[in-house]
Amino acid sequence: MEYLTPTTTDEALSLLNKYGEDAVIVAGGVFFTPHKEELFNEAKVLISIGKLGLDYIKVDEEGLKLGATTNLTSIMTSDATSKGVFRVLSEAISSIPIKRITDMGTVGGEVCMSAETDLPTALIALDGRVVIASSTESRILPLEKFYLGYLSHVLEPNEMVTEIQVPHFPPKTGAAFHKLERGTVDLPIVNAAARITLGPDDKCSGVKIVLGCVTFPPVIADNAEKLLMGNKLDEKIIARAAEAATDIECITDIRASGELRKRWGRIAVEKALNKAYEQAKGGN
Amino acid sequence: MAVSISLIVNGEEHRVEIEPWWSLAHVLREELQLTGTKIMCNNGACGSCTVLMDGQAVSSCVKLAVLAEGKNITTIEGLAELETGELHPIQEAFIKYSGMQCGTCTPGMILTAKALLDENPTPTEDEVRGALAGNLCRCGTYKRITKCILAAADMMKGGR
Repeated sequence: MEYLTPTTTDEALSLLNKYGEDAVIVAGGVFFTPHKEELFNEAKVLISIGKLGLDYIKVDEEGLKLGATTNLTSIMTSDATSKGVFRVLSEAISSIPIKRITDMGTVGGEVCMSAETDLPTALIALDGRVVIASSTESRILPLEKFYLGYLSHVLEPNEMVTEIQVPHFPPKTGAAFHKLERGTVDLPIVNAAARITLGPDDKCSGVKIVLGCVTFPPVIADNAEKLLMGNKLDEKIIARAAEAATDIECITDIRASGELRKRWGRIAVEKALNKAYEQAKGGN
Repeated sequence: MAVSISLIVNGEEHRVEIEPWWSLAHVLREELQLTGTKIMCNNGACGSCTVLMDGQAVSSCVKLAVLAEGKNITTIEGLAELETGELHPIQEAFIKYSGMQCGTCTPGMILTAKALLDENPTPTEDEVRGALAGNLCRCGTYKRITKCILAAADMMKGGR
């Protein structure tokens, strides 16, 4: 296997164009050891994208923009995620208490490799978008349309993720994250992120509810969203929405049974919704 | 095809021929015979393989060795004074207050503590516990380990 270290995005994309399915991209590398067999068995080239200058956090009129190789600690501690709706990203990352992992892990890696962790759930709740580039074109895709299943996404062999974007939201929007897990060193059993916008009459004028780790990829609970949309919110209606959000078939694996995921999923959604609602009321 | 990289470990430069998918922990142990770095969970969760890379604690079992090229790596073997063999205050504190039972987690604990104390020389007990969140001790010696790190912080106040 060859190891290549391009220094510009164009150079990296032309290498991807050349090697296609024979190439594996590496940034932080957190997922390589556990998934060594799936990733390296067929690969002929390892391309490091750590020197492309894709390590940035920007806020402009369109929203928050995160370069694909920005590490999780930088995002968690950035001014951009210290307040307002974007704070939910910092909340989701800080639920991983191991600094060694958040120092190594990158936002692009979280998005591409691990729909079973926390950040993708929070990013989908914020209508996150993925900028995908190839040597011939670039496209932007909502993150919720990016995944096909476990460790599987829509990227073509000659494409890579270069940026993650999150739009601005209207005032009186709150967003929150809640996770339930076996222990701090394990992947979540279930996580949930919710975003609520209140209109001038204090009725719910925008809502997104995402449930992670119950199936692959994360699920958007549209039936629960419909219950809340256009209505005055209170704990009762939020509890009903949380019940509706988990009216799904959940996976069973070594971490938990589908039944436990369903019960804990309801709790996670309810807590995230209540927190998001409190923030929205506070004007955020 | 193997690649040739240069690793700076405990102040010494080593040129190694490695496969690109080898972890730093594997290279340290198998190529450089620095077996103080332990491999336990092999997925970055337990902290036994912690080493310092440019002063920052990293899980060497999930760090690809190729990504460590040109970085200054410190393993447990490089913590004591090379010339005199004098132990680092954290090592002394671990001996004085029995910060280990089986010892498997100890190198990772000590290097995590080193990264913490370099960044925050006067941590509170909660801060020490927070820094150790990703380091597992199968013997459950956490209380003594915390005590050792706080004691080392005190010892280091004297400029050691």
